Amino acid sequence: MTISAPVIAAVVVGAALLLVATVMALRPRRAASGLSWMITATFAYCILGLAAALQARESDGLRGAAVQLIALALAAVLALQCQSRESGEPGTPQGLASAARAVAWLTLLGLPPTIGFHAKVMVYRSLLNVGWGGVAALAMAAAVAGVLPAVWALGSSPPLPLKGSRAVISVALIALIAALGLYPHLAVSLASAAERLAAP
Amino acid sequence: MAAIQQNSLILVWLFVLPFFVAGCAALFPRFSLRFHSDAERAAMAWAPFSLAALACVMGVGLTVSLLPTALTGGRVTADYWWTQDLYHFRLQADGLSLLAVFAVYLLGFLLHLHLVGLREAGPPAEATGTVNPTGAYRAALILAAQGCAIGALLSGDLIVLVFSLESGLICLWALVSVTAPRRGLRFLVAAQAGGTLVLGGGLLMWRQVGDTSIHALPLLLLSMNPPELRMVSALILLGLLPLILGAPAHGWLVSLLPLKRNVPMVPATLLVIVGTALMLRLLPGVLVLPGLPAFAALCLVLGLFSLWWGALRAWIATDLGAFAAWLTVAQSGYLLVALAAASSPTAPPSIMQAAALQVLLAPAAILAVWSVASYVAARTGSDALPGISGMTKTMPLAGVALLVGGLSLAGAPPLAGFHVQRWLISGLFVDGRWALGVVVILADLFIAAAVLGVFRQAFLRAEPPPPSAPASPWLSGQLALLVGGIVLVGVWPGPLMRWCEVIFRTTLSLSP
Repeated sequence: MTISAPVIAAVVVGAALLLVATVMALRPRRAASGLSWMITATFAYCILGLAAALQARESDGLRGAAVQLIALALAAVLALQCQSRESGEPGTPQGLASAARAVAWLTLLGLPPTIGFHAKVMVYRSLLNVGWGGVAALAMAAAVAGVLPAVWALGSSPPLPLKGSRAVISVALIALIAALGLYPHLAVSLASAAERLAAP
Repeated sequence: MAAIQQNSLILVWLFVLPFFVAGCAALFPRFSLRFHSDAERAAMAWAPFSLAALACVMGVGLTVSLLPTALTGGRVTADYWWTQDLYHFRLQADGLSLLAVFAVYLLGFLLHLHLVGLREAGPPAEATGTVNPTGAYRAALILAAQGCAIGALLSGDLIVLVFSLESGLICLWALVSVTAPRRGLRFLVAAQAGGTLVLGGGLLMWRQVGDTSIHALPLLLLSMNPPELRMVSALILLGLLPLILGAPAHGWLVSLLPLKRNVPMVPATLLVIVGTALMLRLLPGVLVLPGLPAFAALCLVLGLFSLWWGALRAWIATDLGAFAAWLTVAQSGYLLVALAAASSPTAPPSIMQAAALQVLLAPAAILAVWSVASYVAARTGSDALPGISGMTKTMPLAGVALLVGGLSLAGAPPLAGFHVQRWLISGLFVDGRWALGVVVILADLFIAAAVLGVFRQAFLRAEPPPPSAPASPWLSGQLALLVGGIVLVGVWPGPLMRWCEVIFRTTLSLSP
């Protein structure tokens, strides 16, 4: 199987970004920093999906990348609603804020019952479809390593309580992420439409 | 597009019921806290638990109603397109999955009976129904984990299995993290690594044969190349191993002991039931294949370690709760030893039947010992062995339940556990594995001695018994139910043993 230069570039960029972002997320820093690096690592999965699509259109990589992008966008917007406290700042945890932060992390990690799970499965499948077992193994290992910063972040000071529009947006996003996780057909249909647009 | 078979509604109902109840358990206390007086709250606090108990009774009823189909070698299946052209949302109920689902529902029913009893017998803060949000949170998580466990047991597809399993593990992680964040972290990493390994195995199989169906697993695996076959088998089995492994994987169990009132044995027994049932379910396609001798050896070493480590720690336990926790670890060791022994090409069917029977009987016996710990703590304020003595007169039922549950775990006749040990040990001897059989018998004797030692210390010593509160009829009823059930199955094991034989002939006889 021949691999063109753009494909090699995409795989190298995607794998390197995934590796660097995961390693940086594993360094003990502030919770917000870990979240930023995990968002970057999740974006690397989109690049890897695109690389698989470039290698072979039938690999389903484009749809995988699109679903991963949807999951990433939802998780990032949800995470933005949660404002961290300063370390050691006292305060009672609010259930909604804690749930929003946990759901954002679960989506980024690709854990059920969120849409992130299906996104990761689709990217892994596309990588295996083009015979890149090593890259798929790297992506899976990065997903497991990502649990550590997630748990550190979730165990840190509780986020500030969500009120007003932030609370409404958070509830809607949590519901959407869970609904897409339990019924991923909607997200996959959207990705199929994107695939048709990108490659008619 | 959707191929919905006749019984799918029943299956889906079975699947979603615990989730519904989990929602009720989480919602009602909060509503009651905001809108009702103390007296009303006390009344409302019954609602989630009564609903949960009702759900468990309905679940057991539905499971039993599906049994005739499953026991005649048939399968009740539901097949939805989860994503239009990617993978199916398949559910499949066969004899083995129904046995395990039955065990999960039974566990849930007794748990709720127990919680109602504790609520009644508890201190004023609990008795008046002053709702503790953390308690409601824990109750919801335990119920959600039960629902996910049932989902995993009924999964007909490896991807659905991973989805359900990981959802349940996340619920348990959240539960463990409430009191032991560091152990929770280790638990989540192990769970995520295990789930990813199973997912990797499933995806590799899909890449080779284009399907991830569990029903067709043996045939699908047979159509693969040997190196890839070994890789898929190893990934799936190594991913499931942490669920059953007692020591050190379930070390977090003991950290939950301060939460006696929330019956923390549920997570551990859930994991052991689900892990064993799933491994047995995948066994015909994976474990009996002669390509993984190292896995059987690994299972055996880990199983013997769990068995003896659990038995030794139970021997030196200083309170009834810890005693029950370490007995749970020892039981997971028995299961691993049975699975390892069953992977031998010359192993008789009785070893695998013993593992299937243990899936149902071990939780019942463990629950009996746990219930005694909780019962004693609720009545005397402590279950520390140095502080309790001479309770034969004040709590005779607790003494009987401790003896019956503990000796059943040790395989003493005429209790239910005797038949598990009889099948396992006779199978080992028939297979020519005398040394292993002797090691298992020694472990049985050791556990029996530990149980008798604890019984003597707590119930037979001459010191005056500690002052105790009146017994809740719910708790006494639960103890009587468990004792009666374990003795009844021990004396009249026919139906259950026939069920296990049918499981072997149908689900487990698919081995290539």
